[in-house]
Amino acid sequence: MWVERVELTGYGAIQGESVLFAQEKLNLMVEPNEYGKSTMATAIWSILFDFNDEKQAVGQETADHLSQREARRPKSGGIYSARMDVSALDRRLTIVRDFQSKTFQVFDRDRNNIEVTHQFKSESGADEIGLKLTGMSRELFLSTCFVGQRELDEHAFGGAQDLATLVQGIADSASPSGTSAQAVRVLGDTLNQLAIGSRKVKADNLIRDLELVRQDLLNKIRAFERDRQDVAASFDRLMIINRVLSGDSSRFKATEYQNLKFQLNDAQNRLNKLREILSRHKEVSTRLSQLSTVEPFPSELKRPIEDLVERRRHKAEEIERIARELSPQQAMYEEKKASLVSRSKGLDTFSLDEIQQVASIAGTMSVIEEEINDLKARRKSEREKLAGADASEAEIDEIRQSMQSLEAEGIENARSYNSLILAFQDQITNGERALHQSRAKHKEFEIKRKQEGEKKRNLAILLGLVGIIATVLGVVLMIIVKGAAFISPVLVVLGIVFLVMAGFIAVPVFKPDVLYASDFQSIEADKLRIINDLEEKHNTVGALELKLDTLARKVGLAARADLLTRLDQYAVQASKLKELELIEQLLDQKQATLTKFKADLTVFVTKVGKPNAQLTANTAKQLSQGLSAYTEEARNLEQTFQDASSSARKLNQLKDELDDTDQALGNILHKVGMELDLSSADALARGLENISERINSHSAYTKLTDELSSLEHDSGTPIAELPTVVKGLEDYQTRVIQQLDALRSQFPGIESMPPVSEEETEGQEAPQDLAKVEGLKEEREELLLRVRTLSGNCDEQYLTCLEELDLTEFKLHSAKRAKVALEIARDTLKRLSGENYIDWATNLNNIGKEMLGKLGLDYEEVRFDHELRLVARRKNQKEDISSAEIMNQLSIGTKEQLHWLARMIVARFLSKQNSLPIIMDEPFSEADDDRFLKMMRFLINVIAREHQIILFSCHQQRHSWMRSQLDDPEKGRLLFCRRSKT
Amino acid sequence: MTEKVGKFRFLQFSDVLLDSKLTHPGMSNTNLTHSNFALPREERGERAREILEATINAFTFAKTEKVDAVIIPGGLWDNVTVTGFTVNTLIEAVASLGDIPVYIAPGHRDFYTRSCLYTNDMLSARGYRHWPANVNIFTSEHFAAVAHPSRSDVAFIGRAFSKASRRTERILSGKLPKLPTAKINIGVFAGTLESHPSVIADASRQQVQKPLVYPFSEDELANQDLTYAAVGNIKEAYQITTNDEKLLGAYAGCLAGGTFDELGPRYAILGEIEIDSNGQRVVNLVPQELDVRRMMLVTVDVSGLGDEDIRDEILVNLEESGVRADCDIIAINLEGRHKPGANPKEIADQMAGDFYHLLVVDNTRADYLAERFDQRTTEWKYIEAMLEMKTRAEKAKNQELGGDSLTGIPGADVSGKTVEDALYYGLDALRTKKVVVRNVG
Repeated sequence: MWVERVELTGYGAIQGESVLFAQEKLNLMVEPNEYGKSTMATAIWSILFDFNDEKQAVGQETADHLSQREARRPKSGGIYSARMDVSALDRRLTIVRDFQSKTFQVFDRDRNNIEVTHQFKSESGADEIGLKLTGMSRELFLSTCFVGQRELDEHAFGGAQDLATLVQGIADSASPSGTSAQAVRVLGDTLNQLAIGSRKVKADNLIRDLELVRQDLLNKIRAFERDRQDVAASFDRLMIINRVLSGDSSRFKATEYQNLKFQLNDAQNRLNKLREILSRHKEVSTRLSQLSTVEPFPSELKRPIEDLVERRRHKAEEIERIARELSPQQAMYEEKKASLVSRSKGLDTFSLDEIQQVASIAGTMSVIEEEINDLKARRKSEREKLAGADASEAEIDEIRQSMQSLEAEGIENARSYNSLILAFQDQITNGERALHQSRAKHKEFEIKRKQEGEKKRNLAILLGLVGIIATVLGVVLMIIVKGAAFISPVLVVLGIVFLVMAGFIAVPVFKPDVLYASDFQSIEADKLRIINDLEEKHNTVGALELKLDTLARKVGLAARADLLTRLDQYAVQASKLKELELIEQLLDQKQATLTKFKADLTVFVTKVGKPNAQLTANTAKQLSQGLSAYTEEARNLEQTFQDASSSARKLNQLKDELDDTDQALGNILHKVGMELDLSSADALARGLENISERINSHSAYTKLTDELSSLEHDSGTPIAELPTVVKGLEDYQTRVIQQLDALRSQFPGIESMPPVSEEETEGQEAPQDLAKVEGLKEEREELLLRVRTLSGNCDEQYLTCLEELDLTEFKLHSAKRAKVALEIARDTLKRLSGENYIDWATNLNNIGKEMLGKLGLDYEEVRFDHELRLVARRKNQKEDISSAEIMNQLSIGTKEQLHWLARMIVARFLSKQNSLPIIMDEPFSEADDDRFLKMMRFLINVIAREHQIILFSCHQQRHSWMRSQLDDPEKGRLLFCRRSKT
Repeated sequence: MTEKVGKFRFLQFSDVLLDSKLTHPGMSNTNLTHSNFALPREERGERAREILEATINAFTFAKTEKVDAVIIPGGLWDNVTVTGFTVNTLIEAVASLGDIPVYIAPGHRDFYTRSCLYTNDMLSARGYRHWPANVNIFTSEHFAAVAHPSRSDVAFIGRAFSKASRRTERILSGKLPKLPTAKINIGVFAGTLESHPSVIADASRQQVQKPLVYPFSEDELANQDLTYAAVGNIKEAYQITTNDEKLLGAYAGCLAGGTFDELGPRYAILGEIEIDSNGQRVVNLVPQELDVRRMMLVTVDVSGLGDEDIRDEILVNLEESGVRADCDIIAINLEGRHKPGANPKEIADQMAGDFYHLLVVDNTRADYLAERFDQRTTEWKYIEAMLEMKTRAEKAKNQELGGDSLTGIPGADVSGKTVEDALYYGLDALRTKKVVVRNVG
């Protein structure tokens, strides 16, 4: 899209004026302050998008702070409208916006100005002209394509509203008022501070509290439900009691008779049992009195002692068996082993580690000896290469010293000088060639000048002749032919004109220097420059040659030619000498290693009684082989008598364990005051027998005591009270018999009367005797009280609890849903913004790289990191300048420059598909002249090729100067615009 | 020629459900309203008292009109929560009718048991006075016929819901008992007419259909040849007629609404039955509004509106709905997608002072999605991701009949509505740097 013309019918202080803009140019409006530049800049975007009235809510408008719409209302109070001609979407449109009525119209200029407003409205009739033409919302357009006054300096990007936030906002939303990071923070804050009435609560805490309230209500409701069941049960019971109390009781007496009979039988059975317990108790007590001398024995130790004794017995038997089987094999094994040791001559004293060490020494020494031999051969060969087959050590030292001398005197300098001389000589050759060309060119132009002079001379003669003829003819006609007098002045004038022309053309003929003067000047200047340059280079070469001579003399050579020859030789010998030195170093290292291994080997040969043996790899190898043979033989012997040795090991182990067991037994017995004599097997056997007897006696005592306790437990009463209980039972039996007799006499035939069946008594309980009627009445009162109390409680609270439960569950449900929703929103936004920033950074950096190359700044890299923060790197520096450093450490001019570049990058990225105008109101106010010029050139040469640029400024002198610095094509892309009356 | 039978006047009401809950259990997917529409605690208590007053008004009205009988076909109270005070107040009220008989057929929620408050034994146990002699309560789940005490030509054939009875039984499939002397036979029972408009509406709304309680059809009712059937168990009033518009009976609907499921004016029926000399019965029914208030729900669509227009829209909708500002209990259900930045709830809340009671439920969303988005922005990618997640959630829910993770099972599927919430919370945070979470305060 590009803006062709803006007409302000009535807008701010401007009325009835318009301004024309050109496409793909830098449209520059340079006017003094108060001219209305910012008004014009604002008009462009407000015609496209209108003002945002929601940004400044109603009521916030004050006398000091007018809304944008009010600020631009015409001061004269006239029509508040503007129109703009644009070219967009391959159409030429006119937008007419009435800011008073907040309406707009769009006309298609390609189709006789027919109105096409409907095409730029949404389905709901909303204004979408700006969105449809730019593809951006108002806020996005203002953030990218519109650079307002002081937007680039530190004030605009200070604090929270920094560049990163702005770019993040653009990447995050079409209306970049906030960023995802802010949104994520808001969502997180909401999760942590849900508004519950006047207080703030963390979502988790709210859910927990509501769960608790819900659980409490559920508990209450369950309690009420139990109460209601209780009321129903109590009511049923109440009904039964009422029926019983008001009905016939003879059937119930039959039941009572039967129950009494059952109780009589039960009492008889219990009496029999108690009598039996009494008799047994007497018997056990007698036996216990006989065991009264038994010493006390801790019951908890009995089991461990028995276990230990048993274990001891098993081990003793095992030891005896193994010893019996082992004795013949053991003797043979010992004999063979002694034979092997005597033959080994000290090899048996080697440990496994030492055997491995010897083997390792043998192997390593062998390798090192081979390497030393090899290195010696190579050293010989290198020496021959360096100084000949018969070269002595002294000769090699001489070579070495010579080279050191060359190095000390600056061999590198000599090389540099030589290289420079060669380079300069090349340049001199080129220069001479160029001088020759210039001279040839000079000659060529002289020929051209001559030819041109001749051409002009001929032309001048021709024109002069024609002029003379015309003049003469004119005079003649005037005098002779009166009728043709009217034509004679014309001929005279024509003749004079031709004569003047001939004179003008003839000037170079007489003054040939004027022909191709600039070319000759240029050639002469080139020649002079080349000659000067050649002289300078000749001088430099001479100086360098002098230096080389001096160096040659320093190293004892006659002239620089010798030095250069020597340098060539040096290059060859230096590498050979280095190789030789390297071999010698390696040889020293290997011999040192070999010496160390020999020292180690000395220890081992001494061990086998050969301290004077020669310390070579061969000796080490022989020792290692001897050790291997001994180890093999010993292993075979072990394998042959493996069973015997295993049994011997087991025997020893068992003996150790038996000792441990005896010791443990002794310790335990010591605790109970018994001492176990471990000195001899007999003493031990006697001791164990005593222990066994004591344990058995104590077990019998314990058993009887337990039986007494059991009898007391069975009786249900202390044994001492048992006779009294027996007497009580006998009395009860007598009483029941009397009651049965009474019932028989009161209700004759009661023995045969059927008792009340279970079906009949379902839920009922008959009074067991007449005395219990009163009890039932009491129960009835209690039940009534219970029914009324519980029902009253339910009446008061049950409904409230149920309703509260509904509301609490709703709140809980809502809180859980809100928590999940907030978490989803937060996590998704966080993830997507991270991914999107990376995506944006990649795209922006590609554009940035391209733009930076054309801008020619002092920065090698200006890029956006993964958080869309601006990072820069100066040329020839490795360290990045972070966004914070850009903000705090760079000059205002540099900041402005970088921020402007960042805005251009973003604008370019967003308008890739649809080229949009870039409007700038007083940018680069803080840039120095050099930067200013660079950025303006960049705008003209790069940005203006793809975008229309409209720039407003009040610095006339600066822009005039800028124009003077531009070349013609650049000037051609610059258009100074002015407002004019419509 | 048949002997002419004198006019018989009656007052019928039902489904009052005294002392029942005035809240809804949790979130309801099938009904419009949920617990967010519940009145505050004090207002609920006040409303419960008003419903009781409406019931007493009904008895007073019956006495004033000198009707021949009061008929209550079920739903007088809720057995679970009814208080002794309420029942005692009712007993006092029916006692005041003197000789006018009252016929009560216990229904679904006030079913008859040995220990319910319809029994004098329980009333005795609770310490309340017995039902007076003019009250006739049907206690059996089998239909029984009772003659009017002073009009032997009028009989009431009724039944009770009991706790153990099989609720899907077709109660009118057999022949009802009738008194030989009766010329006017009035049925009194609670049951569900299969063709009742609210039953059909419920069936179309609910995903999982519950079996109807004691269902019957017009044909079954017509076959019983009752003079009139007073039926309860459905809260919406409805006249039951044959295909040829012959009146068979009627539901009075609930006498007074307590929640926003029982909207608008509620009635008792003042009926008059006459049989002419040709044996033709003439039944006239006149609705009587005995409750001082109405529960009114006004849904306002604020789609595309900004703050200035929302207020006007609410006022227009309120006016059109016929609410009575000084006495009705009104809920404004705000719906639709308003202009971003608008605050419909705040605007509606500001009007509360002009009404007896105004409850505002905000189900609106800011209309972010109507805007055009740059596809390169995080915002666009976020919207795209969330809409995809929502589609997935809804698809999964439909397939697996799964519940919401918010039922308390961590890690379970998230519902489409929750994802929608998440979408708007994220956009609110991005656009306005402010998130308002609903329904948790």
